Formats: sequence, C-alpha cells, structure tokens
Amino acid sequence: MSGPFGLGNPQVVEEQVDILIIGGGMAACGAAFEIGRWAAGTDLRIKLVDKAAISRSGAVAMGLSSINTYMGENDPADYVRYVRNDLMGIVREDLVYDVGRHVDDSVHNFEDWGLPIWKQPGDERKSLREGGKPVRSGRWQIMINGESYKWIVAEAARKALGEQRIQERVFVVRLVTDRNDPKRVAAAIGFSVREHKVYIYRFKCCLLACGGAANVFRPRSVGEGAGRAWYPVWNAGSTYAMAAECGAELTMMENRFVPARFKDGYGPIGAWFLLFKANLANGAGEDFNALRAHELKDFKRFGKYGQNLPTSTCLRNHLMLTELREGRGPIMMDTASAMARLAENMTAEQVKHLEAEAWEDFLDMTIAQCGVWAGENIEPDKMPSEVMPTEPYLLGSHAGCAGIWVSGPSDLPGVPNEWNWGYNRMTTVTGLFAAGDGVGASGHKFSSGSFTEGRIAAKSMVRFALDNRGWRPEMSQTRDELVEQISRPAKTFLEHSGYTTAIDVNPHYITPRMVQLRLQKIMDEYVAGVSTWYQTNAWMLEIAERKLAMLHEDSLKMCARDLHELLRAWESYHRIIVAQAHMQHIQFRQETRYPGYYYRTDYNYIDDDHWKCFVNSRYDCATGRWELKKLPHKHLIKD
Amino acid sequence: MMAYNQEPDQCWECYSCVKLCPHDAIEVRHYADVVPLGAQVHPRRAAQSISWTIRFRNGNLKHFEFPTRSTVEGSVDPYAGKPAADRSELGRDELLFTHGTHAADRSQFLELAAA
Repeated sequence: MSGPFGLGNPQVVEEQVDILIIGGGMAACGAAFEIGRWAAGTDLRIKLVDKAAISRSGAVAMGLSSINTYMGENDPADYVRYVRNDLMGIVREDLVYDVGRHVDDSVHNFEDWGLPIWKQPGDERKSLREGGKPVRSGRWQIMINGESYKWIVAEAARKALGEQRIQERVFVVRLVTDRNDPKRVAAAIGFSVREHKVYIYRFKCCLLACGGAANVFRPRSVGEGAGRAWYPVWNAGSTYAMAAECGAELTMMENRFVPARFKDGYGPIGAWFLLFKANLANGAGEDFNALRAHELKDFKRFGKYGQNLPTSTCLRNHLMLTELREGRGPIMMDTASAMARLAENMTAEQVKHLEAEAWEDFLDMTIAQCGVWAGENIEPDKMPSEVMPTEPYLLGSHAGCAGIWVSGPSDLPGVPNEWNWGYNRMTTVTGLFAAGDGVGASGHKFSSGSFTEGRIAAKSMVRFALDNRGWRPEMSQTRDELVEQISRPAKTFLEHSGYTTAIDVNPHYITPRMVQLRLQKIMDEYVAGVSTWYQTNAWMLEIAERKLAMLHEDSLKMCARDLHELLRAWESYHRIIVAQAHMQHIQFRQETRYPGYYYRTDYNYIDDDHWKCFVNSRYDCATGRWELKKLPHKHLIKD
Repeated sequence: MMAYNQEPDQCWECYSCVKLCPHDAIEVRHYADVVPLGAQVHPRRAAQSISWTIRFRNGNLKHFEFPTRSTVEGSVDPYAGKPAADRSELGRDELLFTHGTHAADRSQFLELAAA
C-alpha cells in the first residue's frame, strides 16, 4: 500500500527484534526491570509495546492502597497453602511458590524507588530491607500510600529499558505463528491508536501481558457507570484471546472473580473488615455470617472446602448471595459503629487520622467510590453503606486463576514433567511467554506478584533468545493478509456507510458497541451473570454456545469509523474469544467448583472425585472449535 | 481548548487525565446513571503528595492530603546498589539477578529434593 495514508489504508511499519514485551502494566514493567540486567552486554534487541502510556497503564493505573502479596515473616509454602485454599484446591503450586519466593525482593525495590510503605510505630524511618515492620492489613497485605505506585514503578521500568525501546499507543491485536512451525510464535501485529500506522514485530520470543478481562458480562450499571468497572475497563481479555488464537493451551478459564464491594462504586471492603473491624449485616440487621456459616459445613455440597479456615472468598460470597437471593437484602456494612468503637479509646486527632485512612483506601485506587458516597451524602462515620457482589471478571492475578497454561520452575521437588518444558513461564506455544493476569491456575499474585512474574518470565526469555540465536522468524501469513485483517472494520465502514442515513444503523455492519452489548447480554443471561444470580446449566450453556458462535461470525462485520472505534472493534473481538473460552470451560466442568462465583445448577456441588483436576483448552482458529481436556492435579506442599 | 471525553461510558474515572493536566482544566462529574448530582472529588497533585477535596451533595467538605512518593520524580535509578546479572545463572530458577530470594523451608515440600 502507498500513501496518502488514512483510515483503512495504514502505513506499515515493520520491525525485527529478539524479544517483544506486549503490555505495559505491572508484569510488563517487571519484565523491563529484569531484562535490562540479563540482556546487558548482549546484542539482544528488545521492545516494549503498550496500547496506552505505561506511567498510568494497567490495573494499577489509579494507584493502590495496599500491596496484597508480601511474604515478610511467612514462608513461601504458607503462601501456597493460602492460595490453594482460597482457589478451592486447584492451583499450580510450583507457579505460586515461585512468585512467593521472589515477591518480597520486588517490593523492596518499589520502596527503594520511592513508594511509601507504612511502618509500625517506631519503625517509620526503617525500610523493609533494614528490617522495618510493615503495617499489615491481613496476613499477606501491607499498607502503602499508593497513589503513585504505577507512576514510580513505570519510571524504573522506563529507565531500565530506555525510552528508545518503548513504543506506546500501539495496540497489538494478533500473534502470528511461524511458517515452518505452527506451534511457534514468530510475530505480532497491531496498530497505532493515534496515527494510521500498522506495526508488525518479528521476534524470537514475546511476553504476552495485557491484563485480564472486564466487561465481558453485562455490568450492574449499564449507562455511564458501565465504564466504572471494578477491574479496568480497558482490560479486554486480549492476553487470553491472542494466546488462544495462536494455539496456546488455556487453563482454568472456568474460574472467574466476583468481588464483593461497596455497591456501585466498587470501593474495597477488605480494609473495613481488617483495619476497622466493621461488620456485615443483612437487611434485617442480622449477622448472616454468624447465623448461616454452618451451612458451608454441608460436606455433600462443599466438600472439605467448607470446613477450611479462612473461608474461601467464593464461599464468603456464597453466604452473601444466599441472603440476597432469598430476599434478605440489602447487605450493609456498619462502618459507623466500627468507627465509633475504635474512637472509644482514641483521641480526636487519632480519629481524624483514622478517617483519613478510610478515605485514602478509596482515593488511592477507586476514586469513584468517593464520588458515590459524596453524591449520596454518605459519611462512613455516620451511616452504613451497601455491599454487593459485582458482575464476573476473568483474571489470573487477583483472587482468580483464569489464564494460560505455562511451564514452571525446574528446581522444585515433586513437580510432574507435564508442568515443566524447559523455559519458566513459556506457554505451550514455543517462544510465547506469559505473566501476571496471563498465567492461569496461580492467582493471588496481585500487583507485586505480577511484577515479579514479569521478572521471572523476562529472565527466561533472555535465556530462550540466546539459546535460539540463529533462528529467524518467518510469518505464516503475508504482510498484506495481516494488514487486511487489521483494517477490515475500517474498510467495512468506508464501503457501506453511505447506505443509510444513520451512521450506527446499517444492515452491512455492526458497531463494536453493539457487539459488546450483545456479548454482555448473552453472557449475563446464559453464562451465570448477575441477572440469574450467577446460575447456569447445560441447557442454558447450549443456547449460549450457539449465540456466541453467531456473534463471533458477525464480529467480522464490525465497523470502525476512526482509530478509536478500531480499538474498540478489536477489544470487542478479544472479549468474544474470552467469553467463548469461559463458556466452554464452564460447560466442560460438570461440578460447581466455585460456589459464590458461579453455580452449575445441574451439578450444584463440589466433586473432588471427578474434578479435582485442571481443565485445559485449545482453540483451533481454522475450524473455530475448542478442545477441552482434564489434566491431573498434584499437591507439592504439605497440608 | 476545553477538555473532552470522547466516550464517557467507557471511562474508568481513574483520574489519570485529571491528575496530569498541567492547567487543572479537567473536573469530573460522576456517572449520572448512578450518582446524584452536586458532588465533586478533585485532586491536586504536588511533587511528592496529593491533596483531595471532596464536596458532598449537601455541601459538606472534606480535605485530605497524602504522600505519594519519597523520591523526587525523575530521580529513580532502577539499578542503584543492585548487582549486575551473572549470565551463568540464567538456568537457575531460584534466582533473579538481585539474589533477593526469600528464605524457604524446603521440608514443607511433600517430596524432598533427591539431593
């Protein structure tokens, strides 16, 4: 193609590197930090490409009020026990352990770079490295002043890599396999969201770290509030979709996360439990946890998991959902009594400080919650606030474990051969690595763990690139074919927009917005969204499968009137693939492994005899079919 | 030029634009399908701190200020005081270049290493 370049006729920029980092969040920044050292003194060419600007991209864009994974006095084995308990027994303990043993070092670096970490009285001037004791808000969490968390980490990542090796505002949307080896990745293609340019990167290996998936399900708020999702609205599941389309095996895509949060603002409730000792009650003012926690002891339904302490996040959700489903809502958090109780033994100054901490918890990471409280005249020291389980999210770094199946570390005792194929964090596609939300079956990494996993993957990629020095990538598709695919929505718009007088209404195309709404409706109504109280069954899933297939077909007719809509078109496409994976996995797993996150009402119990296993899937791009299989589970760490 | 949000229902209200604007030209009116009118949450970012003014619908005001970083922006040296990587350790998964691996009790593994 030649100029003048414009919508549907982009300039093509081709670049050859050795290692490509796709994404700019915590995992990608961790990769940048680690790779700068391991690649120093080599001739490896490295590039990081992000669809946004890394100083404020990813899930930590707004900031955070705590670091949720810090070992401190705990052993990494304790961390494995905590994660596997919360994720109902099925995690890759090798991957979890690996994050656990390296994560504190990452946090110490954050503090070196300028992140303020709260300390116990007397230790205020001591860094964690010097033995300063952090303020814990839970066994694994430490409190921070985290408004600039990402800004600080990105500054370090930028300097580690160098500005010339960072390309921002380019949205990578598709991976390309190698012409001579269909199980190997050779290239990635994306487009600038600012200029009419398509970028093709050829490489020896790449890190796919573009976050989890929000807005796959119809959110509880469907107007302007639709964007104020709990997880960032720009997390379109691109990680899982691109991996699946490239032939990588996904794992545990049936898992999801349904956070219980302050209603409509998604403000976290953890600190209110842990720091302020606030209580939850149903509409009648009853402590439903005390009244009905014994229901979790039903062994036939919840197996041994209902006996475990601490109670898993999904089972805590289950108790809350039972109240709501049976008409005993709303769920209220009694913030006022909690603050009054704490104030009994405090000075006015201390109370004021406490109140500031409570607000900072929101202002650091979910500012909209402050907007909701201010708009509704809710002052937490004066009145209680409503709590609600949100719409489902797919992710692998927070309290969920959806993601890609990867090779683990090679030095841990008892690891089955199937968990290790030579390069730590490499997927089943040669040269394709993952980290953070991308890596499945190993949740509870959070920000610090995702950064750490990026580091682990980066070191491994340097080894891979050096081991494959002589290898030259060749793409399985031509440059023109790829550019055509990328530009299709724009061309569709240009070709057909004259047919009608309303730009959004046209029989020849569908807007990305309508695709997203259609997807959300299907997922909500048939795949256990909020409108069915997270319930589904084989018959509902069969309908979902059919509707999703048609939506997938129609996605080829998406339009894009400008680069912004082209971004939305590809995000919507990625969400469809993610939705199909999620639906297929829920259909395959004939049990209810995560009560409180979703229910298979036709198999409404945990079935360890048949389903204490991983479920992996592989998508065949050519046929559009998903292949699913069970993989044996194994514990590495003692009970 | 006035601030412009091209897609309000796909905005996370993360305030990144509000915080970054050098002219303090962006304010947020919260999502109207949920939040009653009249409230405003507005930040002022300084070199190493951020202050917030929260105006309630009823006119009540709250003001908070929090530290954001202990170093001067732009001063971060990611590798200061940190060792160079030893490439002979590339195959050793128990180590990152910083050698900051957490102490670990190997007896917690069900199968102890043969070694």
